[in-house]
Order: sequence, then structure tokens, then C-alpha cells
Amino acid sequence: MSSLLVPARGWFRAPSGHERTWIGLALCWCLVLTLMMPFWHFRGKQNSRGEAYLVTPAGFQARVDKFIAATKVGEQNGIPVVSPAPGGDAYVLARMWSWSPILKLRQGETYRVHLSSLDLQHGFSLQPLNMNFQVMPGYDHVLTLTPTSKGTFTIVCNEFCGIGHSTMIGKIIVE
Amino acid sequence: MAHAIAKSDYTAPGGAPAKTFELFPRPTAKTGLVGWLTSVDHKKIGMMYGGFAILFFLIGGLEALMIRTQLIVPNNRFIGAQLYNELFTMHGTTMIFLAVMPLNAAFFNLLIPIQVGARDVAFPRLNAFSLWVWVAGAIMLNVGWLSHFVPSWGFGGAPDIGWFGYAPLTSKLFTPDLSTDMWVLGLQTLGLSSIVASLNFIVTIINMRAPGLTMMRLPVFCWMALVTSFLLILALPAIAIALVEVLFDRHFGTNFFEVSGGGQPILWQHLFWVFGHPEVYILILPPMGYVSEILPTFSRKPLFGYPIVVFSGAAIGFIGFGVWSHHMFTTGMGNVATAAFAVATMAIAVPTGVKIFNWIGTLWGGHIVTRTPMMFALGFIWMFMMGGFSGIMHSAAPADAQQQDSYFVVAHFHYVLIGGATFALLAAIHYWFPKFFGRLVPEFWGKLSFWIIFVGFNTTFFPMHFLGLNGMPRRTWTYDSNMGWNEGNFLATMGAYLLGVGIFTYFAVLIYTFFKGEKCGNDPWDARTLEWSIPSPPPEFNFKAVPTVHARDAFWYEKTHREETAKEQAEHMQAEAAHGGIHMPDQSWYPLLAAFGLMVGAYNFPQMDAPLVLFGNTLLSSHLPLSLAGVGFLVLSCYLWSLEGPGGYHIHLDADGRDTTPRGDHY
Repeated sequence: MSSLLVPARGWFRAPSGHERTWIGLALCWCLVLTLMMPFWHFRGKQNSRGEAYLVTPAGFQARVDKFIAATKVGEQNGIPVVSPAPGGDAYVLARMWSWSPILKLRQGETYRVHLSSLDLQHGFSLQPLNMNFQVMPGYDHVLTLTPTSKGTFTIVCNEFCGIGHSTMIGKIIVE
Repeated sequence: MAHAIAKSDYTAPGGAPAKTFELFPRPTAKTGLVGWLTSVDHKKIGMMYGGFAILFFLIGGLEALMIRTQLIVPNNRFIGAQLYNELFTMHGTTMIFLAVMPLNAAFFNLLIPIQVGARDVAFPRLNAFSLWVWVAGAIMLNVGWLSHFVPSWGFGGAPDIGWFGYAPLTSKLFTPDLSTDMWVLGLQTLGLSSIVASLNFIVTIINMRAPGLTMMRLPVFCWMALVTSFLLILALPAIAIALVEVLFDRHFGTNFFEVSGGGQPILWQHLFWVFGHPEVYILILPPMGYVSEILPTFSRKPLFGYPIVVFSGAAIGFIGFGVWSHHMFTTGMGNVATAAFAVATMAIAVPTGVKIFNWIGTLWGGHIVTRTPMMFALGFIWMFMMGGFSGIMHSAAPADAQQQDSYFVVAHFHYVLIGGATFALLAAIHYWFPKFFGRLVPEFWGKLSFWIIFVGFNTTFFPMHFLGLNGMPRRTWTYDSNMGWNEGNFLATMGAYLLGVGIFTYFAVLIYTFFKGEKCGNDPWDARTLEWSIPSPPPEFNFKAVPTVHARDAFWYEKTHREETAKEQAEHMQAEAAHGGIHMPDQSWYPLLAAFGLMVGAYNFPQMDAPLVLFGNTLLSSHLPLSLAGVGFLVLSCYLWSLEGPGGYHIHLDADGRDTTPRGDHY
């Protein structure tokens, strides 16, 4: 039959046999994949809930200063090291081009980590876990997290923030 | 219909000639500089779009090679951080706005009027205006590079804010120099060009179709151009508003994005991506159109599931407006918004997948001819699918938190935009080159360039998936050697050099073909659409007789119904001759002059606080008079443009289709 001709009417055949089995399997697999997302969200309890509040940069800085004064345990290269109370709030402040303070967390305890920026947009990228969150001025981004392994984790800025972007590195210590 | 063409455009009601005013005589030169600068011929405008776009494509490629060279080893000092920031900003901006979009515009211009059986676009002078406004925008975006050679230029280099210019990095506080203003106004100007061009193509496609060419017989490429044009006119106002807000923040003390004044930087992200995500489909829908034209030709059978391909293209356009916040999953939007945008993003994969199945269905059982355009088109299907897969990985919001702003994203969108859009564009250039230059590209060299590009592309971008999952952030000037990113970066840079060699081979072969290639007839590929029924290169008036379309694959039908076609064409030629001959649009200076006025106005506007200094002498205390003069020139040009009237002249053909009109004879 010439391929230029219009196919005869009634060309549609309902799938049957193997074809029907494969379509059914593909459909089930789609459903499984789709349902995995909400299932794992509630079962795994690992995802950020996207919790964020409006703040002013000055107001956030005042809270960070108070937090540092209350929990400071040391200093590394001029950046304060703090040890927040388990179950409580912790703060990380981003500015061009540093992260402050250095958090000292305890394994197995849950913290509410507040992220915000003083100047422009930064990106909070926790290495080597590779979890990424955007840090905006005027926006208090809250991560509820429970460290499950010990060690030193690096914070890399992954949102372009000017000439010093590649040098903007911070730290979280879990013991 | 021929009657309407002959009577409507240049006679006032009552038959008296319309009153017009011409400040200087309208240009009639068809060749030479004046011929090109004042051209309203859609083919010439398309060639200029294409030529400029390829120039910027190569510039953007050189920028990419410098970026990759900087990242070849850890802690490299090949270029400084400042230059690096300018390079990646301009690489993104150039490739999107100055390479892929204008290359698509070039094909819109070259092909749409011919594929719908028309003699030009609906508004030929407006079409020239789009081109020259685009050139003005391109100049403004790139003018900052000059300050690397002439430090007194005062720009502080090219834009260095990333191609999506996240606020408040764009505020006067963080980027005080002019480069950001030029970026803002350059994009604004390019947006104007795109909106004007889109309106033109929408009217052309809907109003100027040949008899018998119903919407559901329209070539898929024209359908995709129609959807793209609607996306452009709906998406660009969002970025236009956002850019105006940035400009007001920078120059008039408003607080749209200033946190200290109560502004919200996240507003920029929303406005930018509500434009930016449809923009992705603006870039990829026309390439889907080229591939839908090329695959059937070289499979020797019609496109499988034509209506579904068309509808899924339109569905992509609709859903494309409801997915923008998937760029913002990690900003803390909350569960509901995140889930909604994740589902919408997954939904858009359905029409995209449908298209891929239809292309495979077209190949299935076909008599596949692997010429070079077909190789690129097959490469497109595979590589675009890979980009689609990593796209679905982003759409799962929890997984996206591991990919946000990492090299995984860089790998994803290069698979979509090189493996997808660029492969299809390279296929299209190769496929339609014989039509517009009358010469066939040598098959061996074409295939060689394909294989070099294919291997180079995958070597460059496949390792980036792993770099991203290992945490390498994008836009980083350099990295430490203990991060585990050394091998991947080295491999990617080597791939980039290979890709450069491939692109060089591709265009070197085209240049060779342009001068020395084997000459070909009207229809070297035994193709299906109307452009192959006319001579290569096409005459100014495209068709000696307006075609009548009887089938989707219009030219395949004509080839199998020669007598019927000849009879219809003779009738159409007679009818047109009876009404004064083939009516063609007149050239005009005003589109070029209006675009020039716009550029002068926009270029001087952000400098209004700075004195005008030339060779060390202060000529004016402010740039404001120059800016106003530019705007005045724009207004005056548009005014004179409207007074000169549509004009137009007739071409008379003899029975063989030869032009018998005396040169310069109007009416």
C-alpha cells in the first residue's frame, strides 16, 4: 500500500496478548514510581519541608549574634565555633563570602538550622552529602536535621554570588 | 483571492492612489550593501539572522572553551575570576539569545512563507525591524567586551551576573558598573525583537496559507513555529516587567528587589522563571519541528501520528507555563507548592515522550536513508531523550535537592540544548543548505563532522552528571584537588576540545560547499514539503504560481499527480497575471533607522548620570540628551515609516516562469 494513502477506517485494534501484558506492566510501574514519592516523603522523614519565614537581615543578624554569644565554645580562623543545645535552634549566616558560625552538632540529636543571608543570594551545599538549599536575604530557611554520622562536613556556596564565589566555604562538625 | 492581493494594498478607497510621503526615494537595489540593509525579502532576512547567529554561536563556543580550559586542572590560574564570571554569563546569554533563538528565527524566516505557499511574511518591513532590533540588542549585550581592550570605555567588562541575573546581585550596590545595565537593556531589546517577529509569524501562518493548506495539513515545523510564537508573546512580558523593575531599582530608587526597603528577591526568581521555563520550550519546539520534517523524508514515509505530534507540541506549550517553580524547589516554598510543580513537571514529560514515540514510529518499517541530516536527527532523538531522563530526575523535588545548582544541572541542560536543540539545528542547516545555496554538502565530511561532534559532546557532558552528584557547584571559578573532581573535569575539557574540532569541521565544510560544492537541483532529498518544489536557491517571488495543497506531504502528492498540478498552476498563473502580476513588497530604510534610534536611546539611557567624554574631552555633562535624541529618532523613523505607505511592485513571468519585468519598474 502506498504510504501516501489514508489508512482504511477502523484501523484501531484493541491491544491483546503480550501487548496488553506489557502495557499493564508499564502502567503498574508508573503507579509504583508515582506513589513511591509521597510514601518515601512520609516514611523516610528525610526531605526538607520547605519551611521558610520572612525576616529582615538586621533582625536575623541580631538573632545570630545572640545565638553566638550564648553558645560559643571556640574560634577557628576568626570564625566562632558554637555548640547549640540539642533539640533547639541553630543559625548559619551567609554573607559575601563566608559562612558563620561553625556549628558543632551531636550525632543523633535533632536541630532546627536557620539559614539566611545578609547581602545577596547564596547557596547552602552540604558536602559530601550533596544536599543543596538556597539562602536568600530577607528569608529565614529552616532545615530540621538529625546528623546520623560523625565527621566534618563542608558547606560550599553553589549559587553565584560574585567574585569570591568559589572561595565561600564553611563547616559543620558532628561529634 | 488573487483579486484581493492585487487591489487591497496600494489603492485607497475609490481607486485613487493612496497619499504617501517619501522623505527620500525608496531603495530598489536588490544586491550590494543597500540591498541587504533595506531588504524586506524573508529569505535575505533569514540569511542575515542565520549568519549573525552562527557568528555568535562560534563566539559562545570560544567562551565555553575558555571556561573548560580554566577548569581543566584544580586551582588553575589560566584566567582570573572576574573574566571567568563574565565568560560564563555571556556564554549562557549568547547561546540562548544570540545563537539558538536567532537560528530558529532564521529558519522561521527562510521556511515558513515557502512552506505555507506564500511570497513573503505578512508584514515584510516589520520583519526587517525585528532583525535590526535583534542586532541592536546583540551589540548592547557584547559591547562590554571592548573595555578589556580599551579600559577608558568605562563598562567594567561584560555582564558578570550569571545568565539568570538573580536579584539582588543585579542591584547598584553589588554591580555598580554599566555592564549590568547593558545586560538588562540588551535583553529588553531582544525581547522586543522576538515579540514583533512572533506576531508576524502568527499572522503569516494563520492568514497566508495557500489554497487547500488546512491547519491539519500544515507541516509540523510550521505548527511548532506557531506554538513557539505564542509562547514568546506570552512569556516575554514577564521578563520585560522584571527587567523594568531591575532598571528602576538601579536608577530611580525603587525597592522591588531591595531587601532593606522591603523588597523580595524571590520575586525576581518567579518572574524570571515564569519567562525562563517557557523559554526552554521556545528553544526546543522549533528543533522538534526540524526533526519532524527530516525524519519522514529520510524514512521514506509520512510522519507517524501527525495530529498527535501537533497536539503534543501544543500541550507542551500549555503545560510549559505551569512548571516554572521547579527551578525553585530548594528556596523553601513549602510542601504543597513543591508537590504541585513536581507533578506538573512530570506531566510535561508525557507529551514529550509521545513525540519521541512518534518519531520512532516514523522510523519503524521505513526505508531509512542515513544521509548527514538524518544522522544528526537520529542523534537528536537519542541525546534529547538522555536530557529528558535527567530532567525527570530533577522533577522529583527531593532528588532535586541533591542536584540544585550542581554540574548535574549543567549536564542536563547541555544534553537538552546541544544534544537536543543544536543537533537538530545542525541537521536543519545541512538539510536546507542545498535549497538556499543550490549546493550539496559533501556526505563524507558531513558524516565525519557528525561523529566528531557526537563523541566530543558526550565526552564533555556525560562526566558532568557524576561531577554534579559528587557536589561540584556550577559557576565556580576553580576547585581544590582534594574534592574528587579532577578526572571528570579533565575528561570534560578534552571532550570540549574535540567538540570544538567537530564544530570547526562542520562549518569549514559548509564554507567549502558554499564556494565549491556540487551543484544540485530543486529536490536533492526527494523531500515532501513545498520548498522543494521551487528552484534552489529560490527566486525572490518564491513560487511562479501559488500552489494548491492536496495532502500533508504536499510535494510528494504533486510528484505523483503531475498533470493535475500543472493544470492548477497554469490557472493560478493566469489569474495572477490578469490582476497585474506577482505583487511584491517594497524595500524600506525605516526598519533599520528605527532600530538604530532604539539602540542609541537604550545605550545612553543608563549612562545619563555620567558625562559624555570623547578622547579625554568632556562634550556633554550628561548622556541624557543623546538618549532622548535616540528615542526621538526612533519615533521619527516610525512616523515616516507609516507615511511612506506599503508600496509594492509587480513581477511579470512568461510561461516558463522567467521574470520579464524591466528592472526598477514599479507597477
